[in-house]
Amino acid sequence: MRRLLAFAVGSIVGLCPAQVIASSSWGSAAYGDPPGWCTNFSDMWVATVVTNDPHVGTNPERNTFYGFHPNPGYDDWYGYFYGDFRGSPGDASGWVKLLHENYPDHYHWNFATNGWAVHGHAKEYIAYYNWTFGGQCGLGFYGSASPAPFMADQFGYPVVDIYVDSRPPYTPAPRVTDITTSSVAFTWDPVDDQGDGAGRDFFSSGMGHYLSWLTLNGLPSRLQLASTSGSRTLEQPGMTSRDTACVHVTAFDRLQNATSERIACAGPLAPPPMPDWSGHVSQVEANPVAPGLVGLDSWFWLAPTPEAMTFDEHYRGIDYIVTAVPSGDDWDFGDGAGARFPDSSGDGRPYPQPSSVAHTYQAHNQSGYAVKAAVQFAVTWTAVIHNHRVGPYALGTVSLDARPLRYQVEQAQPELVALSDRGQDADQPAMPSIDTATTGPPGLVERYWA
Amino acid sequence: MRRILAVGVALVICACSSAGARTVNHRPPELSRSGAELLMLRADDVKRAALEADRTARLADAFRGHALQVVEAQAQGMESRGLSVEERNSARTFVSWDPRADEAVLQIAAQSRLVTPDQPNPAWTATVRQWWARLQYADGAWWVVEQVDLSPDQWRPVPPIG
Repeated sequence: MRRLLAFAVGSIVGLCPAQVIASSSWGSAAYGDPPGWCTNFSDMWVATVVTNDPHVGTNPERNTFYGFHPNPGYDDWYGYFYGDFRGSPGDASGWVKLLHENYPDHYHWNFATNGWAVHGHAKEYIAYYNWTFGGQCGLGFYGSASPAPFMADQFGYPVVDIYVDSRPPYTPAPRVTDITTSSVAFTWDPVDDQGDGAGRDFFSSGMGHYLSWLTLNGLPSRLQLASTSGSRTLEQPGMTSRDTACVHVTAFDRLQNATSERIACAGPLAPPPMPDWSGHVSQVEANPVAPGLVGLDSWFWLAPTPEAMTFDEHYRGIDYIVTAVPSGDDWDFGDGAGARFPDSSGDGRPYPQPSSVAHTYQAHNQSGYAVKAAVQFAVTWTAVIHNHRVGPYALGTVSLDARPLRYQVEQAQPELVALSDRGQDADQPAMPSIDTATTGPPGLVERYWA
Repeated sequence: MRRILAVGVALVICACSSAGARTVNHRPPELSRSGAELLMLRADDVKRAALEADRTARLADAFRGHALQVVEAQAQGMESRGLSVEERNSARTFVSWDPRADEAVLQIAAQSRLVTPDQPNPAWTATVRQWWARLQYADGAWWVVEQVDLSPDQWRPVPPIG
């Protein structure tokens, strides 16, 4: 009796449909098989689809909805979906009614029918609903609240593992690796596939290949065209300074998702254009501050003192560093006199230091002399190629005009103030002190009025 | 191309036959990597033709056993519903050969489409699959006796190109 009871209970339990948790008997094991899933009478062909099409046009199950029950003459078809098929990874649809089929017509369904799109991984179960006695895998009755068996499609692919990668790899960045006065070499760093989907449903088809080639001077001919698994070096020899070579690179993943064509161009080493240095101008300064005095030397200098300047340029695909070093100065004191200095002494030195640039005016000028200076720079260029510097090479000279100074010069009138050694007083009134800020500290420098 | 492959397979089969045993007690002749590749390419040609509803496809030339049953049933099932799988621009790479287990993997990257009665001219999409097969020697030749498309987590590395 006990054996009979145990057999009956075991049979009932065994026949009742139950959900398999976190493992699958069909296809990928990432998701458990859905509840009420009955595989009796099905060939259980499982398909694996790997595509770049989020709508899974090659879904082998999309046109297999044929009636199994001519009497009563219809079937209700259901699908159960796991994965990233409607915008969120790790999703599970539950049993979704896909269509009601009247025998003998047949129908089709695919993800786009529900407005869905697969990204990464999704798993599809297709079944027809068998309400008779709870289906072939369980005990039940019409209208039972328990889940009736969903009968796996008998003739198609009731389980389809779908992997969609519709995104291209990361974009490659071609660059110059070497350059001479007659050749240019390019390469790029390998990139990874971006993959598609997210979380547990992320899928990357993996990197496929790179398509790369050279063009010369904008001509359409594809030189050295090749498909390679990895990056490579392309060199264009025999170039002149008028030539420009460009490398073109496109990266493909295994599903032919391609990046946009990336291009880098360069010519052989050539002098870059002379930069605009006009923003680096000094001011002419003088001591004494105007007015100066006729017959006494005035000191001049440039403020700030001219220094070496650098300018970064990107020219024909190459980074250049252009450097200007002061090499001398030309002075025009405004009274017809001038001076040329072949070195930095021509910059003068600010008061109270004695300046090497000095001039003595012979006549007063109420409106002021226009004191001008032009700074000469020797300019060189250096190419920077992949952190390797080539150069420097001379680019020429540049003359930058300093901001001029309008310098008034007055005639001093000598007056007798006292004859103290004879005990006599002067017969002229004492000259009032001249209000000037040009005097230095007593004893520091030998200057007038010190 | 198919003729060349057929000749290649035939040569391999002949070579195997000449060295092969006539009784089951003898070890089968060793199948070289190139021989396995030729057989896989030939089998893929035949299977693809069958799924394209090509009635001239002779699955029994390359398949036997369970593999033959499944592929034939799939091809017939598709044909009865007016379905066919078309491929073009395929690039096939022989990515794995295990001579101890007699298992081979062929990667097929191609443009594919599923042609149906209601969609006779669907768009082409890019697909890639790694097709695993177990080969077996019988009656003086090697055959595909088990086959399945691998899920991507089982894919074998692809040798570099270029």
